[in-house]
Amino acid sequence: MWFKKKLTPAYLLNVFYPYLLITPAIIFVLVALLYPLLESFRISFYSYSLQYPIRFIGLGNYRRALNDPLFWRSFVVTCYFTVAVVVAELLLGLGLALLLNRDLKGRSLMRSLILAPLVLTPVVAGLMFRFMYNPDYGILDYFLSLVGLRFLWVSSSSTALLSVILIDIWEITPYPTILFLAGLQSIPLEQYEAAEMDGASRWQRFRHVTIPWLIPFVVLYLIVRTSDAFQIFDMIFALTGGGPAGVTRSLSIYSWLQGWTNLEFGYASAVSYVLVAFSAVFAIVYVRILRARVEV
Amino acid sequence: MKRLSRHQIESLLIYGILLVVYVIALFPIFWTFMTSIKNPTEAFLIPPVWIFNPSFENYIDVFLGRPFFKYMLNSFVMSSSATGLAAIVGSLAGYSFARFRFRGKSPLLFGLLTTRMVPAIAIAIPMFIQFWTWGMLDTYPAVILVYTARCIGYATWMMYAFFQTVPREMEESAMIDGCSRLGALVRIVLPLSAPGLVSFIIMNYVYLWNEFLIAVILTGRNTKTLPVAVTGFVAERGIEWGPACAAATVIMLPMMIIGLSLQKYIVKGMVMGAVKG
Repeated sequence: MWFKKKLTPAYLLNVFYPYLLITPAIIFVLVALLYPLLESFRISFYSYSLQYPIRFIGLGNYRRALNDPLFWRSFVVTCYFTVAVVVAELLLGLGLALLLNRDLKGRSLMRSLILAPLVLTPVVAGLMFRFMYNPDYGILDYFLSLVGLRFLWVSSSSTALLSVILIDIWEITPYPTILFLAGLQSIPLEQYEAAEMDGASRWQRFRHVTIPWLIPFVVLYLIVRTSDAFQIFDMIFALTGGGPAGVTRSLSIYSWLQGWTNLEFGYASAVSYVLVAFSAVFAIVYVRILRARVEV
Repeated sequence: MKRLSRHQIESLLIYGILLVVYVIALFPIFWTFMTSIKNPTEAFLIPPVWIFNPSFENYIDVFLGRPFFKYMLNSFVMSSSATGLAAIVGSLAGYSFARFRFRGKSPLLFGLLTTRMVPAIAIAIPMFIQFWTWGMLDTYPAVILVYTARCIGYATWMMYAFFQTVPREMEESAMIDGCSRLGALVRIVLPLSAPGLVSFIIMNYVYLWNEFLIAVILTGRNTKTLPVAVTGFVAERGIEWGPACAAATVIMLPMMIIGLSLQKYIVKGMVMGAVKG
């Protein structure tokens, strides 16, 4: 006999019970995430325009992307944006967390208030700043004029991307702030006391206790944040729709434009798969790191 | 004048910086609200009018001139349904991962976790084509299905983390008394991890309420959500900023209230979602 126990219904139920519990979750993921992902991949090999008959064109869409200056521009814009916001938000978030990590009065209120930009709808943020950035009646130019300055914000192709980056920084910095604040508050005091007894200066305590402790938080945060930033869509869509002369056109927006303005779904899918590839790499790294740390 | 100690100077500096930070963080929101209660012409005045008679003209325009109540209902229904569904399904899956050992557990768990990193635009195109083929565009179920799928990874992971903090003995003693596993889950484990569940629900609700990409692609006249509706002000004869700001304020308000009052849960949700333990 190759099985040791009787295959009674009770036994089978016991063995499959864990799988049973996770089945609904798996079903949702298969139907509404995995299937569309695979389908999108399949579509990317076709000329799937709603205007012309659907033709299989193999790598045609991908070759088109490689030769498409607009695609490359979107790629560069997205890279620029991602690096800028991730670095800025990291540094500002850390700085803010350090500032807030003291016995300040009204700490709880401060934490609540700082969440405001973060819980704001990104589309609404885009709209809000579109209003404030307006050259004729925007409040920001008014403030600048009080000190004799002038800035073109999203009206000029040379400053538009920076203006977009500033909005994202405004919106998202609370996230690393809260995260690192929690991290800072989890550092056991004994570490600092021990360092102090060894004669460490304030700066040395920071370098040798605080920073090493925070690094795990920072690494995981960076991976997730970079992946998210690369997919930026909502805020830019509401603010400029791709900006003057495409200088704020991220990859997501470019894919959307190809799909819903040019009705070229095949090409749009191919472009979106660049995003998928990018996210996949980050997801793999993320899982690797998490698995090494978390016992499952 | 007494010389200030170094410590006091430091404190002053910190409060000063924080003040600047908070003004920057809150001004745009404040300004949008201010604009929404000005009458339409005052909104465009430069230099800006700081003292004026508040008027609710913009809000009347938003609510009576457009089916805004319907959009609010849509947002509410879809966010609630997807969050609720994800909470249930995620709790079941999270419990399984927290309590059992089985083949393929690790890849399944981490696989589910990574689903939140899937770019929305990549799944939007096929979902759009599919639902369009089935005539299901602009329906609740279509959007709720996709939303739930997007949330399940996070839900499972959160509940998994929180269930692990509940000692096994709890259910085990209940099961000895004749309770079924699921019964123990519902009656004992879940109540003990209530803070985690609440954190998830709040975080997820905010995420879905603010969701735009999938909504704009899958919804239409009947199921339009608030974020989609607010971009509708950007069309036709230029942008009507007064009503747009009123709409923006309406969308922001629930989230701001949640952020202010339930900060504790949001922070917990953020921390658990980013790093385990």
